[in-house]
Amino acid sequence: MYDAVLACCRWLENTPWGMTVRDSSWMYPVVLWVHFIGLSMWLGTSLAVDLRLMGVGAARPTAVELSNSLLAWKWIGFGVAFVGGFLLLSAEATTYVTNTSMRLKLVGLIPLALVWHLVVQKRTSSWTQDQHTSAAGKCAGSIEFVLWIAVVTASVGFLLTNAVTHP
Amino acid sequence: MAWGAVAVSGFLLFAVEAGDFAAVTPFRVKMLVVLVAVLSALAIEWRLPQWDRASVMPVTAKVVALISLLLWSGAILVSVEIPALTGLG
Repeated sequence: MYDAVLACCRWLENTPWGMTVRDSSWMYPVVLWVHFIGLSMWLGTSLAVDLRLMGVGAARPTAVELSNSLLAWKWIGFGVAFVGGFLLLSAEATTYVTNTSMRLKLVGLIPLALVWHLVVQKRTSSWTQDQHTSAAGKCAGSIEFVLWIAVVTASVGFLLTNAVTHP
Repeated sequence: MAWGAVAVSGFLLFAVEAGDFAAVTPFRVKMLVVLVAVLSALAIEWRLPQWDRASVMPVTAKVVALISLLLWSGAILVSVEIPALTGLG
């Protein structure tokens, strides 16, 4: 199983885009920049809706109003972050795959947080039918908030413990 | 609230190697860009109720919004370039 993952990582590193990002003197930080812009948009919009579900701050707009108005920006941000992250991974995949924080982030936390996000996005309107968010909505919003903070924590852990970005 | 958390944690990271950071140009550029970006954010917050009442968004509002967008993305760009160019952080 791990051999197949390694083979996939080796393939990624030898793709034209993987080689381009790795061999260039300036591309890695620029792609990192693109990744950060995308994730700022994704986290900013997602966490704002989570906080609204949790009942933090003003009561207007409601969680569902906020969620609907931010929907496009949120998924644009996700797309940008995903493409950027994919390029960064492609550049050094065989090194990154050995890092525990990176494994935790990519295999565990991101899939979990993303699935939970889709649940929250789909159910937000049913949780906010009254003036106040239902208990289930508050709970779900808090869980999503914690999940994304965990993703960020794993990312920082990765940056601090991997040989490429922190030699 | 988020701004406060970012400012405090950023200051703590800075405090670890304050002398080294203050000496390098990219860090100085970042502090300047963030300062101007915060001013633009305050300007937007201050004028937004007025801009919002107009049926079409005034040109001034669009220009200020574009400047703000460029400043914040610029702040991230300088941030990722600090370790890349100086080896700090």
